[in-house]
Amino acid sequence: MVVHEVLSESEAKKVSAEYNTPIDKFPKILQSDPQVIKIGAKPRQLIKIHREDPTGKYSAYRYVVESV
Amino acid sequence: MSVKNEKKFNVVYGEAVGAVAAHSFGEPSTQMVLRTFHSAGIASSVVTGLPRILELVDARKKQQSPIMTIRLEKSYAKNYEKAKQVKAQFEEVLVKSLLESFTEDLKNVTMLLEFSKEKLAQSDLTLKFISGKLQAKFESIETEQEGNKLKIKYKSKKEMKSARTMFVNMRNFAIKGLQGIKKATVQQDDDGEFYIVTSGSNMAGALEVDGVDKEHLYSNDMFDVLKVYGIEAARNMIANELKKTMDEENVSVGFRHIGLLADAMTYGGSIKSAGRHGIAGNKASVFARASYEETVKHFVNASVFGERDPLKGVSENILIGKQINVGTGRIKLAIKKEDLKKVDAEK
Repeated sequence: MVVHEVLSESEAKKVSAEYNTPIDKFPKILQSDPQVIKIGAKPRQLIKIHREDPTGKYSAYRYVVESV
Repeated sequence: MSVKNEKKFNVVYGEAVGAVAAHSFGEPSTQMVLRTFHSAGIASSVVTGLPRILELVDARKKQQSPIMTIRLEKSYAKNYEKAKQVKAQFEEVLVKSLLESFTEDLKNVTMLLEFSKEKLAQSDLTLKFISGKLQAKFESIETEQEGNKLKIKYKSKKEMKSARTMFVNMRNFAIKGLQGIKKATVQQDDDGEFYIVTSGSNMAGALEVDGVDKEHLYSNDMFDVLKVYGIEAARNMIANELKKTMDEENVSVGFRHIGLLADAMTYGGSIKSAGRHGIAGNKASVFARASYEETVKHFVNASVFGERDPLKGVSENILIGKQINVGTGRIKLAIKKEDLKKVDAEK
């Protein structure tokens, strides 16, 4: 199962600076997504995803939105 | 290539990863088409090869062969009898499969279901149980029992059209088992553990069944995965299914290209197809959309609604013959006015 984790505002800013991208331009995740409900994230927060696939272990980020 | 070596090749800023991925994915799949048609005649109920890849990339809602693989909890996995008991809870028994005949009276909005005695006895069901199940699912109905017949009517007045669809839904309702699962079989892996493979997918239902290992439930229906486990699981599933299908045909494509496609398809939080109804059709640029499919439609609409094109993307710049904003094309040169005068003076 893929681990999701809510980032605090300061952490989100750090990620945004690292990628040189405003946080609302990251890939999206819906508020109604089962994993978002599970960790209790709110819209306009950034979520860190611990991904593991054949290219290796890395973090991906998704921005919580209300609807598509 | 090992993960350690791949780390050395972090992508350079401005690299056209999408175009590279499209080439890397497209070339081997054309090879696959040629090979797939040569091996025609091999009967298989499971969709593989190019049809399966098209199914995934087009994000079809109804796929041809949805399959669930269900791992069992430790206490169930080694015991064949227990595994069989779990399996029995999966296979669906539809209302219509128990029927001798049915009549719909759309004028009075009632339906008469005539059940077959033998079929009821075979699946160990009673009319009382069926009517209870139906009433629990469809709240606005009343049932009346006469012998082998069950009369269904609405408590309040109902429109003919919606009643008609409801009647069809009622006949397609699973009295026993999980809705949508046509067949389930118990199989054994190399370690001697039993697991269940189903034809049809219903993950939400499977999670409710006792003895199912909730951590290792797998389905190849992307919309089912999206609904139950979320967008990130759906992304992984799409990428893994694409990789698996390519590997089965002995075609190797780097996972990062496939992963990029899956990322693009799930970018917006829901699954979008890769064609003109999804990623390509929702591009902001008029030229980029027109250069893909339905050229005239996009140009006409753009001129009618006065659309603007900032020419920031790749395909629109290729189309109008400008330098593309990729790789070395990203670099812009500037020179100060004073320095320009110096250059002119030197001449």
